[in-house]
Amino acid sequence: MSFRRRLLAVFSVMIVATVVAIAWIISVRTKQVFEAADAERTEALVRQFQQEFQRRGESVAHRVDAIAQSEATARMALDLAQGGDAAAYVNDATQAAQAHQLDFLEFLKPDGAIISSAQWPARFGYKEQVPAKATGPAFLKREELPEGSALGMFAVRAVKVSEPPIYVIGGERLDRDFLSSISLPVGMRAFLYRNQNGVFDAQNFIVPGDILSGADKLAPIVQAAEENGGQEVRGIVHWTGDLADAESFHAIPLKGDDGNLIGVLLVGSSRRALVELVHHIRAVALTVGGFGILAAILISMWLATRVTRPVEELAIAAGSVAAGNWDTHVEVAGTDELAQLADSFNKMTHEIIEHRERLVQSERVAAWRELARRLAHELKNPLFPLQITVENLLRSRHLPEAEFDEIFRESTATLLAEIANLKTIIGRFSDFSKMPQPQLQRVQINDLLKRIVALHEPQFNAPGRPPIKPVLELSAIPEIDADPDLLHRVFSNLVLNAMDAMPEGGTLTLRTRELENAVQIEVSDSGTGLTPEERARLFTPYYTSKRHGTGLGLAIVQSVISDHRGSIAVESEPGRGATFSIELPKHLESAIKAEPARVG
Amino acid sequence: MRARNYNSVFRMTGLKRHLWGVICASLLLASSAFASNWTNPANDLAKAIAGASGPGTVTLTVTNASSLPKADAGEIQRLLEAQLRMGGVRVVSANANSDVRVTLSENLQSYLWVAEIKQGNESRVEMIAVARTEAPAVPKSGPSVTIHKTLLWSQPTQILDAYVDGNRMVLLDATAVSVFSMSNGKWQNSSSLQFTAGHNFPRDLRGLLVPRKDQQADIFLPGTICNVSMSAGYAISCHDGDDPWPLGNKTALFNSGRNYFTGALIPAANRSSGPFYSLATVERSNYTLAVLTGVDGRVHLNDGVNERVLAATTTLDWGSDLAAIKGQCGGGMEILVTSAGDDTMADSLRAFEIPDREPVQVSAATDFPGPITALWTHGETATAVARNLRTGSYEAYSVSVTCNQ
Amino acid sequence: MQTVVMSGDSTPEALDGLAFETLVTIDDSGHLQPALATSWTSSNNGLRWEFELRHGVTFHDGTPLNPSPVVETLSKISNQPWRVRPGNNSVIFESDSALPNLPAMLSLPQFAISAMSSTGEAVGTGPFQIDRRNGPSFTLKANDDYWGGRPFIDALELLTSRAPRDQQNDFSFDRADVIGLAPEQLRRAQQDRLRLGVSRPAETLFVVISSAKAELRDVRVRQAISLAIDREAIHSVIFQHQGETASGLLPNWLSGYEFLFESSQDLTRARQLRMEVGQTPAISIGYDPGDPTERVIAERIALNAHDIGLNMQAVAGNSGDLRIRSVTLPSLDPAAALSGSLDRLGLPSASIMSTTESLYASERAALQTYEAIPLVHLPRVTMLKDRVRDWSASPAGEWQLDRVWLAARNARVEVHP
Repeated sequence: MSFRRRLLAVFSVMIVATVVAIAWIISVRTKQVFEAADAERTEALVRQFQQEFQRRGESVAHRVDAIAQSEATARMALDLAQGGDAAAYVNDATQAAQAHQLDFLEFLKPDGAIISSAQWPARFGYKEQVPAKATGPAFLKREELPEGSALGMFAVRAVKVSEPPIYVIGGERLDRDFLSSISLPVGMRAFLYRNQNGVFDAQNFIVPGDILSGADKLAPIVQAAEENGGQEVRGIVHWTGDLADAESFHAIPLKGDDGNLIGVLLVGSSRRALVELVHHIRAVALTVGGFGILAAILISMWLATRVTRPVEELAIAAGSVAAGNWDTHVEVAGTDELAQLADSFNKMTHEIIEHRERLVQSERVAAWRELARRLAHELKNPLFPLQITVENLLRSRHLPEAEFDEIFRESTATLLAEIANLKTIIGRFSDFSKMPQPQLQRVQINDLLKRIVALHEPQFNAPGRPPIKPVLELSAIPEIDADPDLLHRVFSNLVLNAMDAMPEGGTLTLRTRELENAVQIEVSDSGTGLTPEERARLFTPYYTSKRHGTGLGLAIVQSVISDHRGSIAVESEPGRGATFSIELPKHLESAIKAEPARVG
Repeated sequence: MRARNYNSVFRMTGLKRHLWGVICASLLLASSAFASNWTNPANDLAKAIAGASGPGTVTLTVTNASSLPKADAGEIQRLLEAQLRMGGVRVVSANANSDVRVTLSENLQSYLWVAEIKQGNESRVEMIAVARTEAPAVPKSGPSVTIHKTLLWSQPTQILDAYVDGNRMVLLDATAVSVFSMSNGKWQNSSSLQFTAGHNFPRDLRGLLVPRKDQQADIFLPGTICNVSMSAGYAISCHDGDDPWPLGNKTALFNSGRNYFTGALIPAANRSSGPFYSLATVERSNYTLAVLTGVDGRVHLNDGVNERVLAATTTLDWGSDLAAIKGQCGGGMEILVTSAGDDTMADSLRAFEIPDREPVQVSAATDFPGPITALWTHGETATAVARNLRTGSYEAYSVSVTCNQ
Repeated sequence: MQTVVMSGDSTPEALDGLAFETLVTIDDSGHLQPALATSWTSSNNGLRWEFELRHGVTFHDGTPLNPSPVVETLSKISNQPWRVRPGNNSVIFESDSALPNLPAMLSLPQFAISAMSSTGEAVGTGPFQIDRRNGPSFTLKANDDYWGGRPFIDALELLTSRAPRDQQNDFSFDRADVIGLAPEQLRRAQQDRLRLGVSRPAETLFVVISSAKAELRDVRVRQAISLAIDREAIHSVIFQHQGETASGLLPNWLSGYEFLFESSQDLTRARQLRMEVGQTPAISIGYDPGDPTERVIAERIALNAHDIGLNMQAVAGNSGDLRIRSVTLPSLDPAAALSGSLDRLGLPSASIMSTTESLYASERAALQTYEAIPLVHLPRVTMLKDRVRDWSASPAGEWQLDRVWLAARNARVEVHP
């Protein structure tokens, strides 16, 4: 990843992280504030419920009082105390309940037997629990009815006209009308749940207005309220997959006069506002974050101009230098560290150039020295016999003509041979100095190798020497762009070298293989092998291990391979032969284009 | 029934006594005839029981669930026991081989005597249908009214009338009017106001208390009218006079020298029913029906336009005193009627209604410890004064009726 | 024109005797009386009966009564153990088994004699004939040629299918002279000093089994229900002591032996039976939603069932496994009444003899199936305007309307010099 992109990424991450952090803090804080407000609203609603309970209770108690003190009730109590028939009063509760607008009303004998029941007329004679106290405020109670049970606000009064007294128990139903009578803020609603034997049943809900769908989802909250020892419980109910449809519920247990849980008041507060607010915050955060990233890009782009470009220029220049273009110069702008770095770079490249030039110069000098040494060495060899021969001729001038003629003929033959040798040496040097550029054609290497093997076939089985067995392991390879003549010289050279490395005969193996972008040619011999030192200097011009030869062959091979943008390597160990491995690109032009531009 | 022997034009009392004797004799004759009727069916039932239980011992319980008189039921039980003994079955009180429960029942057509014979876990039922000679005595719809009496006061001297107003009771006797107040559940004498008439009262003195407003009351005595005030202290003032006595929604002139009313009613009727002892008024929708026990011993119905005498057989067992009270039952007014008899016999009250033209008895008789000497209507109740044959005291009762439940 | 207007919730059975008559009737003492037949004889050990027809009787369309329409009417009634054929001004019944109480059976309303008029309508011989129908109400006019003497009133107007409140309004606003009253309203009516006619307890409330549920097929379940019901509470409280508790199909005043049947609540025995059967699914008892009394009864019975561990629920409508039904005594002859009651309850009523022992055995056998559980016998209560005179009803509450007359608005007590 480039420096600019890294910088961009860092800036973006910083800005995004900052925006996210701020958005998170805001949303958390908003939630806290919302929930605090929701709790306050719920508290207020609960207080309202409690006040309404109290008010209803007082109203119920007042009406029960009126019934207990009425003349009709007094007459009934007196009559029953004197042994009158309770059957005569079996309908009194219904009438009194209607007159006083009570949903429940029962008259009880002192032993708890029902004289008359408005809510369940058929229960006359059955016994209710005698009230422990017949005074006091109203209380909650679950009342059994033929069709099930209901919650109600009840009051008990004793009719003390007679002794023991009869009891009046009256009440008002807590039903949807009760719930509807309480004004609720927008977004809030309330349900009553009647607890029956602790087993949850969605049918036990009392709901104002419409039917409550999905009531089963309230089961955990209701059960938690029932099990929580009468403490309030809070929870969130997700009605649908949309979070905005969720609702916060407070479950307030309702206890009867005996302390048993008879119902649960559920106050729900819609979370839609909160969720939408949070979504809004997130949207804003995303928008801000997006703009922040955009700003980061712009800033980084500006910074690039200020920071990354000089760095990039430095990087490019370094790469150019690495590619061989020593004469790379970077502009120095400013006086900051980057400018200092650029200046140092320029000085460095200048030094490198000078050093390289000196090095090149010294290499040239060394190469000329080496060439001169080699030339001197090569030339010295034939020159020495020339000198001896001429000296021999001079010495033999005094010999008889016949001896002089013989010596003259031998000496001239020797002179001519040595002169030919000199010419050969000079011709090789000349060839090496004027190695031509490859003339590229499509060349099938396998065919070339086959021709070379065929060409040297007589030498493989030359008389007077152990035979050399050629082995061709040629895979199907494509044609490549190459100069066939130069490659011919290369492979011939390698074959000759391999033959020279197997004076005792052996196996010459030629292999071809297709690589991804190149073809590979291996020339292996089973000769004496090379030591590591020999291997290191193998491609150095004039290095030879052979008794004759200028030592230019493998240098020429390397030069040709290099011109073909290929590579050559050797693997060998003493006594185990050598394998020259050449890789040539399939498409020479593509290889050339892929090379970094030479700077210079 | 009062002994109406004070200047009666018709010796109704003696007539009543004679008639009463005739009736009793008839009843005696009838019961003897009935007794012989039970022998055969009792024999049949005893045979059936013996056949089911076999010889040995039985416990025998006989329950009368029919209209047979108590005496007849006892006779039947004795016949059964005798017949069982003759059939080899001994009746014991406990530890018997079989338990026999005989129920004297009846249906529309006949009496039905049912014997349940239980031996261990087995039970058999034997039935005998016994012909009935007359229709069941129980009214078709059964007694629908019950008379309740509550003792208010008892004293050695004659009580003429009494009424209760809240926590106060006012009682009239021959020489004073007494005011009582309720204390700890008992009446306590608050005051007695003596009065004297300007003339002698007739025998079989009758007197009527009429409560008025403002804690006052009027007292009607033969030839004397008094007024009692109880508002601030107690005061009485009397004067001689023949003001008509209020009876229901009519008023009637009392014969101050006798123990009966002259027969003149206010408002007057087209046709007079003649002098009478007692009058009860029954409210109809458009008129008032007056029921009068005439001095002639007959019961008269007078609706202000027409006058009719009820058949003697219908009112054979009626006494001379009537009172109509609102009975809170169907038919509106209940007419309380004393029973025929004399001062030596205990009296009773029965309730009648006149739904159409004939009186219908709607209650069983309520017995009193002696002859009823006064019977007056006071609103929704009546006051009956009876002389206790055992103690000789005069006892004032408040009488009301309720519908049978 | 004197017209008595009657308002009720259904057509009273007494009307059957107004337009259509039977060969014999049962009087208020339960004895057979001649009606369209003046005499009857039995021969061949009860296998043959001959009923002599009354002379001078005509149908409402003027056709004289003769054996032919009698035979035709009686032949249409299916599932009878007799064959009928005309005689010489008589009808002859023949059967394969003795029918000792055939005359009493023939007094039942279903054996009333009718003929087809030329207009295709059924006509009878009774003191009244149907004049016109107007939906749920119809008018009968007096039969001038009635063999027993023309009725006093000219017409009877019957308003049927009237709800109790509507009947009360009809009475209050003088639209009706006679209305029926529920027994539990009797006490209040008496307190309001209304004019009432109260019969003997002649209408019996039953709990009948109306479902083929498996659990109700077990007689122990039905018996347990019967033992659990607190009839005394229903009688004393719901019906305010009107009538009497019922243990038999026939009230004691008609049979004389009803006391032999158990009617007391026995929770111990009921629980025992229920435990023998084991747990049963819920049973429903249906009530008429327009009748609050019936609802209270159903709920009370459900409570009684709960007391013995039976899950029973009172439900409105006709769909209950149990239902409350009311059956009016169809006759004052016990055998005919038992047969008719069993028939109305849908229970088999074959071979009911007239002896008391056989009646008792038949009734006991029917009761021991517990297919129909008697609750209470109730009186039939009629409320009357003052102007309706000589009103009478049989002990079973049948209105004897042919004797009724109407007083004028300002009528006084009649005078007989």
